[in-house]
Amino acid sequence: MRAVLTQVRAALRRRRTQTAVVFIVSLMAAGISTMALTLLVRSNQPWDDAFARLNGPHLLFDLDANRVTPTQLDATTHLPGVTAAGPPTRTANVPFGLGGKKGLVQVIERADPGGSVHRLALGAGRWPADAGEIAVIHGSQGDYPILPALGDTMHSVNTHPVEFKVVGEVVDLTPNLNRAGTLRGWVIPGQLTQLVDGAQVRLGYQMPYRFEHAATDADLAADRRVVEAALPAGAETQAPGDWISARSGSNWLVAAVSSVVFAFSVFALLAVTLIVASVVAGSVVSSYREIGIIKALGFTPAQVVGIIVLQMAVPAVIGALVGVPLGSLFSRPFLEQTSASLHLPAASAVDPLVDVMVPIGLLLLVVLAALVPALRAARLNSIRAIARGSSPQTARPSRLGAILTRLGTPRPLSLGAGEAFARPVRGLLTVLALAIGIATLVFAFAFTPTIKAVGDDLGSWGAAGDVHFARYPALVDPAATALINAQPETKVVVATSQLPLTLSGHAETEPLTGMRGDAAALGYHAASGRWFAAPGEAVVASLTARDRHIKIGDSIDATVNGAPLRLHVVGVNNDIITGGRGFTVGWQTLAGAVPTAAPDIYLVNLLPGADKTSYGKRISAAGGEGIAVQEQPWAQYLDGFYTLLNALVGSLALVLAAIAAVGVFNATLLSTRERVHDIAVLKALGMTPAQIAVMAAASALVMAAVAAVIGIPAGIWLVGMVVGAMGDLYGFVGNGSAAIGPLSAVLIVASVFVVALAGAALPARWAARTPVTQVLRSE
Amino acid sequence: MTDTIVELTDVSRTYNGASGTVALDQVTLAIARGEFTAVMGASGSGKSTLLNVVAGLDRPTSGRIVVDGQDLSRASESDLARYRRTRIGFVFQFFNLLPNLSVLDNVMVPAELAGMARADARTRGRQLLEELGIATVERSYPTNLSGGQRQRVAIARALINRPALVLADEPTGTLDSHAGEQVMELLDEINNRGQTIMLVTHDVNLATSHGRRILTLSDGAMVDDTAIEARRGAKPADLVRLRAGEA
Amino acid sequence: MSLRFGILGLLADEPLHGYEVKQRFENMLGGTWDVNIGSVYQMLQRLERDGLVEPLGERGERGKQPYKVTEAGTSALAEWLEEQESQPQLLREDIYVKLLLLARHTDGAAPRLLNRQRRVYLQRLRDLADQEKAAREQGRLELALLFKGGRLHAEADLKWLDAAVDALEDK
Repeated sequence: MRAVLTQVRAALRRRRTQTAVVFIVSLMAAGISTMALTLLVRSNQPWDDAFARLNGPHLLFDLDANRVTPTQLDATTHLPGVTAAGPPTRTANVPFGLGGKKGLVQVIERADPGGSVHRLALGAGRWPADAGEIAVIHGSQGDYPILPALGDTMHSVNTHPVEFKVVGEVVDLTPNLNRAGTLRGWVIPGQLTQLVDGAQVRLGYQMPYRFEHAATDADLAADRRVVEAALPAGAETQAPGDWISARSGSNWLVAAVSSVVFAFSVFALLAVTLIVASVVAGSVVSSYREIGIIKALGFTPAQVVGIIVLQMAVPAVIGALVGVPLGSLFSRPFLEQTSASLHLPAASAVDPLVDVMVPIGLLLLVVLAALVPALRAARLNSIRAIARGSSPQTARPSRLGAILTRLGTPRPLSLGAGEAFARPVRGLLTVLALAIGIATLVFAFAFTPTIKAVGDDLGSWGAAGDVHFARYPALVDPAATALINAQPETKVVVATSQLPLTLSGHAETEPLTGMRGDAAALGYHAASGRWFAAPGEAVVASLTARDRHIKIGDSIDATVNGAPLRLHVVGVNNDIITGGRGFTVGWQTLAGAVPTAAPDIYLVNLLPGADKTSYGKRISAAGGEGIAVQEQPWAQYLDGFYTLLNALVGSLALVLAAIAAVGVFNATLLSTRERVHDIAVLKALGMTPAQIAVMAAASALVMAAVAAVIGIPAGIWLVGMVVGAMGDLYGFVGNGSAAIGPLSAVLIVASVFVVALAGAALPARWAARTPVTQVLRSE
Repeated sequence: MTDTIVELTDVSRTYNGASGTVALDQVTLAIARGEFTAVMGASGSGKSTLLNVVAGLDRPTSGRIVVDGQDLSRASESDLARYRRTRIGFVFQFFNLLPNLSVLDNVMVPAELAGMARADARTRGRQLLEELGIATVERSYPTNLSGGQRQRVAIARALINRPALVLADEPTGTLDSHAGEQVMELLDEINNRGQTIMLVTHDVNLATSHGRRILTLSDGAMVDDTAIEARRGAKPADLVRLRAGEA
Repeated sequence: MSLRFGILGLLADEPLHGYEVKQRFENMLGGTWDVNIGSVYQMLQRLERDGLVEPLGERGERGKQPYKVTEAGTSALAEWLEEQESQPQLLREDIYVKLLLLARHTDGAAPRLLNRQRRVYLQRLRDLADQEKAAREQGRLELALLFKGGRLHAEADLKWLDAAVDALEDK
């Protein structure tokens, strides 16, 4: 054993380049894998911990107080499969005003934050103890039109306004995802009575449940049916909130990027395996003589395998040990981002299991990759190995080289290019590693622009206007419209309203948005087909189109507010704000079916140079209780998202490109070392150093060209896949390959060759410096 | 007119720094155009280093070398490469043919490196193979040839750019005596056509039977420089005398 | 010894008289040995006395007496050809004697003188090679071998010279 270790130590010291190659690729792969796995494993940790601590609800039902009684609800506590539930709390959705802005608040009566299920944690302040006190969701936790903070006084916007002082901030793990923008507020029991005013504000119940089986969406659907069966028909005011959506929604950003990181880490591990296999195979070939000698000295085949494998394993493990902490370090910002929004302590980026498994996994891969050539080396006949010298000469004429020569390629190029696949296995391994690097480069080039294209399409985010106003019953539509049009800065006004649309044959409703005004001027457009023009024409949102099998040209029969409506689909759009669901039609179409409908959201584009803030304040002041500016939080979210995405995808692509370059470096180095004799001869025959460098790099260029043929389509496919997956999640249809314009295509191809040449540069320069007399003498 | 083609002035080559091995020790030498010079010496005497230095494959540690009007001591690496492919032809002991190129392609390499059009290089290459009696193997690969054939290919390669100076380092070292003699006759013929030849050999018979000038190196220093001549009229009795036993 | 058996060998082919013996002998050796006619007659008489040759018929015109080999002569020749040569090495060239004398001096002249001697040997090698080549071209293989022998000896002398120079330089 000691003899083996001595050999390994000597080999590591002598083969520094090879050791460095294995170290570097292992470091990078370990870093990326650690980051990916840490994000996957840990990003939900703060939420999971808090959810368990608070015994959070698997389903949170919102029910109509006119159709169901507390007694009926209490009975559901003992339904089969229900492990904990209730008690029901009274709720109502009440418009509130704060600082000139208005927003809907789901007010919930609750004496204390405790209980057996759905306990609430206070992020700041205390639980309301008196009338006129309220605890609200912490503002930064979601996207709400009003953002009350501790100490603010907010007031209800109804016939008899009531003031509430904010005394506590609550961490809500299960926000109302079904009614985005609706804040939650908790008051002491009895407070709702004065807020409920029949028509506008109706009383309801909220009821939390925990179930025996709630791990999957299917479990939850079954659980929901059990509860629904026990309640009167139509008791639900909306679909219940579920913990799985709440959990994934709690870190949507990290969820969005972690799949990308994960894909990249799989790529990186693959690339590392390929490179290590090629490094080992190359080193075995170049150390035949040495292997022969140590075998002649009496090392057993097993010891020879051990020496070769350890030569790879040692730098791989050291690389992994450096890479794992780096991976943890780089995953920290993402984890902090998640927990900050939840007001929870950040999960530690150190996951012992991940941090142990990554080096072990990497080690296994490296050992496996090293084992095949090592076993081959162990079988070598020692005498023949010594006689064969440093490396067997490849006497194979190169067909590729011959073809290139016939095509009139300059001699140095054809001589070098012809060698690209002189060792087919190594050539293939390198090409694959390079293809992976190229695929990720393509991804980096195409992904962010694709996402940015989706993000820049503000129409799809419902953020097309410069300023948005929400209208309240205190002001009628003609008055609101007149008020807005009266302002000199007003350029374009699009007034909208949304109603639930029932498609014939489907129980679930789809949002139907009517638009009055020049929507196209605000940037609304169809992703495919065209925007609506004539009455009866509609644009369908992408996911509704997909799920309901609706194609452009189809006619859809539906009802809205009980009135029949026939829609002719002329286009498909991305509508992220509705989760990719629903239809958009002209106002005439909506009003034709529902004559009483009136717009309640006004999207206004201002003339150039206008001040949005003063404009908004002026209209809010003029409209009093009837109109308020609506915040558009998405836009600012997106900027941060792009920065994050760009940094992440860019740096990951760089790492993978670097791994690919190391692969090329290795292949070129091995090939120039094996061909050192030929290179020396050519140099003696008068090949200039520059010609030699070109020759050495030529095979890298051939490999790059082949890798590009594989890698570019793979990268485009990958972008399409990831964009598709994200689109499903967030409700848009993105076209990944469309983001690759002529410029990016040129950049991609250029970067492919940059990567290949960067990898080949050093060995090529070394080859150019081949000491002719020494090489030719040592025959 | 004494037209000097190779001129070395105080050329030294030391390996591994100041305290290292002295491969060439202040060699001063002038070779006239058209000469057939044999460089002799025991192994390690520096004879190959001398040839490498003249070939521009190795740089002297000190001293000045001018070959065919070009000062090698001042040439850049690229200049040396261009020098090697245009001014000299090198014949190695181990042939050093490129195994993955055909015979004809091997011969054409220096021409192509020097920028000769492929068609011209091919014509010239075929002509040389013809002259050297190996035209039939132009499509073969070096591994399929005998040693003598390989060395002839190497000679054709050395001649393709019509170098003024042909350098040969133990060109018959791995050949049997018959093939070796043929190779030497080729060199004689090349020399008769006016090309200057520097032959490095440890074989004194080879040196004396072909060279017209014998340089002897020992420990890097030139210890002897002998001009020898063909004396057709020499009487055997002046050379060898059989005298034994009772006269 | 070789003149005695050389003559015996020539007579074994066919009976010859004295002058014929000298001519054939010189021809056989390719001019490397000028034989005195007197020595030939002297040797013939000695061989006759030893009973290895005998006169054949009558003395011819101008006293030419052909000789032929006796049976004893044939077996003596066969015996000589069979036996191995084991006489001591003959170092007869003056250079060896010069070396013995030069080695006594320490003024460094010896290597210089010996190096000059090299040039002689180098030229001799060339001359012998030319002779050998010429003999081979004439189809005289045995003669070519004789020159080759000379060449190899010259080569040995050169090596010896190198060794001597080395040794004296190191002294």
